Amino acid sequence: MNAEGVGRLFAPLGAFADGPFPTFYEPVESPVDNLIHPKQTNNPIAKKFKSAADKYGSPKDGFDIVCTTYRLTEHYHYWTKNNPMNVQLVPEPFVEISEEMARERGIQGGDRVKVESARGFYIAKAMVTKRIKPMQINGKTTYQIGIPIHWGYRGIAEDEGKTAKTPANMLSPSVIDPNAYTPEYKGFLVKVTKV
Amino acid sequence: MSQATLRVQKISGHAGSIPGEDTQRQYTVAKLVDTTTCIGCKACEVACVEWNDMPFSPTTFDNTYQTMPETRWNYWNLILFNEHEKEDGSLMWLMRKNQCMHCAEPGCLAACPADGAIIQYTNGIVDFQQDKCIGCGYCISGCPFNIPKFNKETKRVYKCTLCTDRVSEGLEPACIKACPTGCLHFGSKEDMLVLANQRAKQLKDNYNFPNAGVYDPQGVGGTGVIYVLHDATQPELYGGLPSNPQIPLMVKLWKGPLKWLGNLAMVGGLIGLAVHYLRFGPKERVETPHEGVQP
Repeated sequence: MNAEGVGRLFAPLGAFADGPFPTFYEPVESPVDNLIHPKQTNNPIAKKFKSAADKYGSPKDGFDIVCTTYRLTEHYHYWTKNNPMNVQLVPEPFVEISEEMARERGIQGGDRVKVESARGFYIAKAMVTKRIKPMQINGKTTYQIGIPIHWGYRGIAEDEGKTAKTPANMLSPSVIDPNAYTPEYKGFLVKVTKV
Repeated sequence: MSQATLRVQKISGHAGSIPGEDTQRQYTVAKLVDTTTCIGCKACEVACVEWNDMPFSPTTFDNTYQTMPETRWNYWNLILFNEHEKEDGSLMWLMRKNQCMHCAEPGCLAACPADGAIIQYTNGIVDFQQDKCIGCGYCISGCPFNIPKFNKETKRVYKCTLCTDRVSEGLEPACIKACPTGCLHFGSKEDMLVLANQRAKQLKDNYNFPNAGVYDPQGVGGTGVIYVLHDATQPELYGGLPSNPQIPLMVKLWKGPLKWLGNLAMVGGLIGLAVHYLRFGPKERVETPHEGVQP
């Protein structure tokens, strides 16, 4: 405890590009507004690529589903899609969706779905699971989907023509945190349709 | 096990007792699978395939993280992924390492008609000897865990060997060595039961799993693979683990009473035949005149 009776926070000068202390911002593509900073939803100095392909979608344009990307224990980045031992464990890319969303959209496990963002699209089979639950955000049901990143271009399954050759990061935005330089691949908006 | 086969019995010029004499412990081996700490990484699956030099097994997407629906003749070890919703609505992923259970009273061995095709070592490992297998597949119907698998090309049945080749050299099975979380243990059955019960008690006392327990089914005389389960009252949740596995009634009947009944019928038939011959003699041929046949 300090003499003034309250705790202190210390941040070295110039340690953060976006202010003395970190604060909460929504991702560049978010289904909701930022409740802490209603006037500034996302980070004003986030680094953004500025090519023609770098477009952003919003729920108004129909991009109403939150998408996240991740890795699996069975694969390592984009290498192991060439190793039979790993490929037999998880042979194909997939899109994990909640049971509730699958019911609403008439999607069965194993159906091919097209995931579309403002930047590109990705086609893979749907994995309907209890593990991803719909979220209640501001009283509104918002669905989330998840895509493991390990496939694309060339690999055992890709070369046999079993899976799409496009990578999952066709979907994600090239928006980069100004401090950690981490790309914003864990939260963006997409549309999902059955193909 | 090398230590078991080379146990010193007499020592020349040695005063006093033989080191280790009468301290020899029960050396039935067992594998302990703590399902509560399995993360489903499938390292044990790969270790099994690689150690046993099995070929690439093609798989297809099946709406699950599970590699394939069930074990194959060349894929002996499979993690079963079960999404389980608890009463309070929260979700648990119940993962179970599915492989041969190495029963103390193996149903496969009881059902097998081929001399020496299935053997049980003194350390409890049940092993198939493919060179003596006749490919009848009776072991498949005798197994309450659906483990032995038929290979159509070689016409033989295969399953987990509990890495006899490693265990006989004093090593742990390949799956145990590969496990990154320490959810798999290997040792004497006695030790594994102590460890399993300790873990079950811990789950009950500290982790709010009042039904946690050890799966070591007595219907097959106990198993060489024992599980610690979050809910030992419902083993079926773990990918259809039978709560009370038994050797199928048909196998029991047919290898027990029916076998002797059959033997009795056969021997009795032969005795009856002999007695009939002695009592009535051979059947005499009755000449019947052929009508309308001209010489």
